[in-house]
Amino acid sequence: MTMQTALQEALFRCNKCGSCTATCPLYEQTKQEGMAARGKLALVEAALEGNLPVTPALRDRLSDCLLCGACKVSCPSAVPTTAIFEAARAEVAEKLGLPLWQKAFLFALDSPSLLGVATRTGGLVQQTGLLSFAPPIARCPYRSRRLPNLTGEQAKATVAFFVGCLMNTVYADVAEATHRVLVHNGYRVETPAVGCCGMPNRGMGDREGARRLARQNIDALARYETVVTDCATCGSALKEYGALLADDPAYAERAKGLAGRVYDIAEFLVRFGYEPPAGELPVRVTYHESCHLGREQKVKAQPRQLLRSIPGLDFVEMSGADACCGGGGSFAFTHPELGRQVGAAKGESIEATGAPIVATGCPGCSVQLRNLLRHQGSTAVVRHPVQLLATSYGRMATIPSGSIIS
Amino acid sequence: MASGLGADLRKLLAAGRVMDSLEERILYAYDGTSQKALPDAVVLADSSSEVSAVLKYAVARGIPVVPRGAGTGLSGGSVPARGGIALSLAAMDRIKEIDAENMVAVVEPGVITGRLQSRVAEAGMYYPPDPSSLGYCTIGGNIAENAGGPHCIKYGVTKDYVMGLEVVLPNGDIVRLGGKQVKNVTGYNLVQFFVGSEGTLGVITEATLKLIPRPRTVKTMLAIFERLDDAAESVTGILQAGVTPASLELMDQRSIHCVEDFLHLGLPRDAEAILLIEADGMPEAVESEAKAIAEVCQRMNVRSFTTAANAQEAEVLWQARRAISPAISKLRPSKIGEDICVPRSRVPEMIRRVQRIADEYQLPIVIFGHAGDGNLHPNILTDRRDKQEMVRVEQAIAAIFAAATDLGGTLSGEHGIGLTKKPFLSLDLPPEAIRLMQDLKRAADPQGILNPGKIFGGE
Repeated sequence: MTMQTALQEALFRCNKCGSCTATCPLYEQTKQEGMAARGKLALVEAALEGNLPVTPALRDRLSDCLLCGACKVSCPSAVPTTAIFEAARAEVAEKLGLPLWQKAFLFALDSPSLLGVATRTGGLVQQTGLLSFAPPIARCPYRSRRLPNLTGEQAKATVAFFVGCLMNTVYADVAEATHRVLVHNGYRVETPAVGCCGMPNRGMGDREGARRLARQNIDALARYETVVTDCATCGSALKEYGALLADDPAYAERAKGLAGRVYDIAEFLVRFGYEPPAGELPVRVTYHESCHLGREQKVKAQPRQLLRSIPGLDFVEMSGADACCGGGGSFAFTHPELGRQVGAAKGESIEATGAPIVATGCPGCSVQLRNLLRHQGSTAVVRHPVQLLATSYGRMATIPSGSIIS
Repeated sequence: MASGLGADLRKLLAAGRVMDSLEERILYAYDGTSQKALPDAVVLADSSSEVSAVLKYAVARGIPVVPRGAGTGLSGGSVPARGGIALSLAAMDRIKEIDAENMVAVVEPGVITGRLQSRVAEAGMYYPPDPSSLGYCTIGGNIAENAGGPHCIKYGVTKDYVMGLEVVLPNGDIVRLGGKQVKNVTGYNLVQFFVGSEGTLGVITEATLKLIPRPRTVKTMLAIFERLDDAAESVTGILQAGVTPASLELMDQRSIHCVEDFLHLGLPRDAEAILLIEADGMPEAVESEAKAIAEVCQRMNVRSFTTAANAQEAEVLWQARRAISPAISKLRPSKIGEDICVPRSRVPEMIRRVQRIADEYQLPIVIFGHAGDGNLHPNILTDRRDKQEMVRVEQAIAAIFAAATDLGGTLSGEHGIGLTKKPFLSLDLPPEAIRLMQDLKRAADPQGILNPGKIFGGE
């Protein structure tokens, strides 16, 4: 293993104090060293020193991580744990190659037509009742929906809406809500032809793929002053393009520039103002803070502020709202048992609020939360804050009638 | 080592409790010191009977067994220096009982200290020992190292709270010692024999811990001194005024500079020392204690004295103290934290000697610690990869230990001897005492399988 000097230096700052074990959701469940950051850093260190060969066993150990970033935030020596793990995964992938399922997955994400076929097929299969672990795929993707929009003259500004893969295909209703809320607030919404944000590639160790997608997206978004997304993961990825392309002379500056123009939808609305919602929504709602939104983008107060501004909405903070739900991108698929164990506490916190709706700004978390709630027999449903706002605006019905407080 | 070790252990224990891949061995090779030595196999124990089975197997074959809590120790105590079996007790983390009537808690060794404290607090009680790693260290490790912390000046250290233990002896016997009774002079005090034994005498599998009533209020104060001596005299002055503060933490000038460079809190760089003082107890008592503390500090020329009005303000005052570790990690990649303890009156002299040592060996050393009980943590900032500098570090450490013992102090206040301090044991202990300790070790562990190579052997 080699790894760039800056990361090696950072890795060396780990004093093995163990404070990462206090915040690691996986360590909490397993009490095993290999699950916490300190352990994985020790393995990377051993590989760098030539004391540990790069084998599938090391790849598996490196995959024992949600990339939730809790350790990074709590580390007294400020070791950039997740960046080191991503770099290590990339090196291991380079040496061993990606497993076939990861290759296929990334290939599908990279090809809109293939992704379309895959989700349409998945949707048909779901109608038969199979694939129930996956959230229902939208009958019609967001990009195929005909939605009202403003002309350049009518609008106070034009924004580029970065529509993520999951948002377009699975959570098309969320994307529609985002679209309608932006239009309601006087913006013209344009949806440039962007690709995947590259986060799945980064997680799986396909750094080159992530960089290629980043360049593609930077080009696609070049002419927009403002980019809005409703996906916590995409937002996080876009804002990190600067680091991803720091050593690419042609793109480094543009990547950094883009980061300053990207907003999560809640961040955007609160920052530039939004019409106060007037429609009564007498429903209790709690909020799950996704790692990609709260920890990575520091967007914490804004989604809560949106929810609280809805008349009649009874906002209840759950305990441990910022704790990882155990989804971790594809982690819940590769480590279903562990993912569920981590999520169990989250499920209980949601239940304890008595809220029939849990709001969250991340599609990955939404999949996990839905499965957790179903697993524990809860009838609570998952919604994006922007959906509730759209409903209060009278633009879209998004909540089950049974959840209204009578 | 026996090639069939992993296979043998798998036959003895439940599935998934034994690991022996190279990856797993690397994962259990270190503790909080960054010292490393590979074990041959790792066991994640879940019960005292599993611990017993492992020890019976190991003792028959002379295989070393190294017990380990969360591996956060600061003296190499849980590093498997001679290989063998790394025995993790981290998964034995049940709080079995919180007995409000008798004010005791019965816990397994893997319980995280901070988690116990919050559970006990919910029941209106208090478990005071609070090593700074309390959010991630374990009770078992605390007992094995006799851990301390800032609140020990008033409340004592871990040993003062251990009333009973279940210990697995090296031959596999499970013994229960002490219990919920407050007084107990039946036979030797074997409970305390195992406290601070650094995993060399037995494996702790359960502890009965004393709890006390939770102090009703806490008041936090920050005093900034231009002269170190004034700060030190304030410490003794406060105690002489009849006040035992809940904590009395000191930061030296270099710590202040480090924190200032990092956080820009506006601490004065020309100040030689900062004291962070807490009073706790009944509200009326705390009020009058805080007043007495302020008076003593005024008399000792305190430059500024701040009292937190509420918990939020207290957190701001603690900010400087808590920022030391992150701040020093920005300066140099590695830090070596020492843990000497001198009689309280010698604190200023000790600090000055360490500062001279820092100059002599050209090493940045920041000093902070528990001034109230004379326990100081000189932290040497360095880079472990720099071999030449590490030679100077080793010399500086030896000089610090020599200074501490010269001032009537000891090598370690709360971290233990383990691997890192064993070469210096004879500085602190007379040969007769070391011999008696070794005899006791042989009596408890005739085959020498428990955590071999620790405490003794370097003198």
